[in-house]
Amino acid sequence: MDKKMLAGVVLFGSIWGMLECILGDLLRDNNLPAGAVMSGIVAITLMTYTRMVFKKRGMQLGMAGIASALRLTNPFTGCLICSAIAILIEGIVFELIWYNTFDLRDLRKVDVASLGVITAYLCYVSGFIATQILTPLLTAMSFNVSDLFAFMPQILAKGLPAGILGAISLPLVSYARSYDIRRIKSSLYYPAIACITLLCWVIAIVNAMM
Amino acid sequence: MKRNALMLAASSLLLVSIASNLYVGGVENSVSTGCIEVNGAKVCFIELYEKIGTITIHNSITNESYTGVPLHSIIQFAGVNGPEKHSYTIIGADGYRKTMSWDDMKSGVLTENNRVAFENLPKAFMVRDVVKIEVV
Repeated sequence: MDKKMLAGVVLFGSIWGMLECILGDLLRDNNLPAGAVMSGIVAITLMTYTRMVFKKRGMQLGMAGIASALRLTNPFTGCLICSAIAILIEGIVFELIWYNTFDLRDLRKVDVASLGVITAYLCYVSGFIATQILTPLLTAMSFNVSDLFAFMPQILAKGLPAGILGAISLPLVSYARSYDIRRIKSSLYYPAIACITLLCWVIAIVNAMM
Repeated sequence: MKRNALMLAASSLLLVSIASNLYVGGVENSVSTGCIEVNGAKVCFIELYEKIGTITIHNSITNESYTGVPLHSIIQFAGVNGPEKHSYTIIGADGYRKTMSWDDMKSGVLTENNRVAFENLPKAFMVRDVVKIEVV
């Protein structure tokens, strides 16, 4: 087991979860497209960067698990089951789309942007659909198929900003590949990750209390 | 062909979402000024506030309180016969909809911001900009 990767899962998952709690709520409160920004920029940036640097399958799903746990278990905001489900589904969809992709160097710029559209759009739309199906089931409500079908055009339409943001984010993230955090010495790497992770959880909780 | 596969897939997804946006723009309901449609009848908020009044509920999941007109009273006010025998589809201006049982309606309110909220249901059930409640 790659210990540095495991620490990376905790670090980037915590950063993702913290941003979901603070930035996501801030955007929602101001009626801005929170889901599109969180999927098209935050989720894509964190998952793509770690995929290119660590080159391991399953890491992004682990990050999504940590992020959704932070969203779900935050004791001061109550249970935000929809967001937690959406984050987890984004991790699963990312793993499926990127199953054989670890590096973007072989791709043309237009293909990198296209991959950004595909990843962000499908992550957003799948997360949205999954919350509509799973939230009623997990809260002992009955799932009404006709409600989902009637709202499907809106879900597909709402994915457009996420797709466009993905097309911009992914080419930018591909430049960050050279900043490989695995090269940081272990004596600094683990304490720094522990501190940043703790800080993320404290910030998320304090923000919810305010 | 394989070289352009990513571009084709991305273009297809963008086309689907653009077409969906055009479709949604055509069918979206406009938010009526202070009134909603309940079982085909137009019901206005001022009337509801005067004749029914408001209550405050606490949502145990979001840990927030919501003040509004009780949903079950709105249904009864609209003259639905045997309300406990039906389900109710609450529809928002953007087409978002949730179908609820009578028991759930009894724990819900329609707030001043034209949003429904319930005591024990997550935010996914809190339809915004309510335009219509259909009796199923």
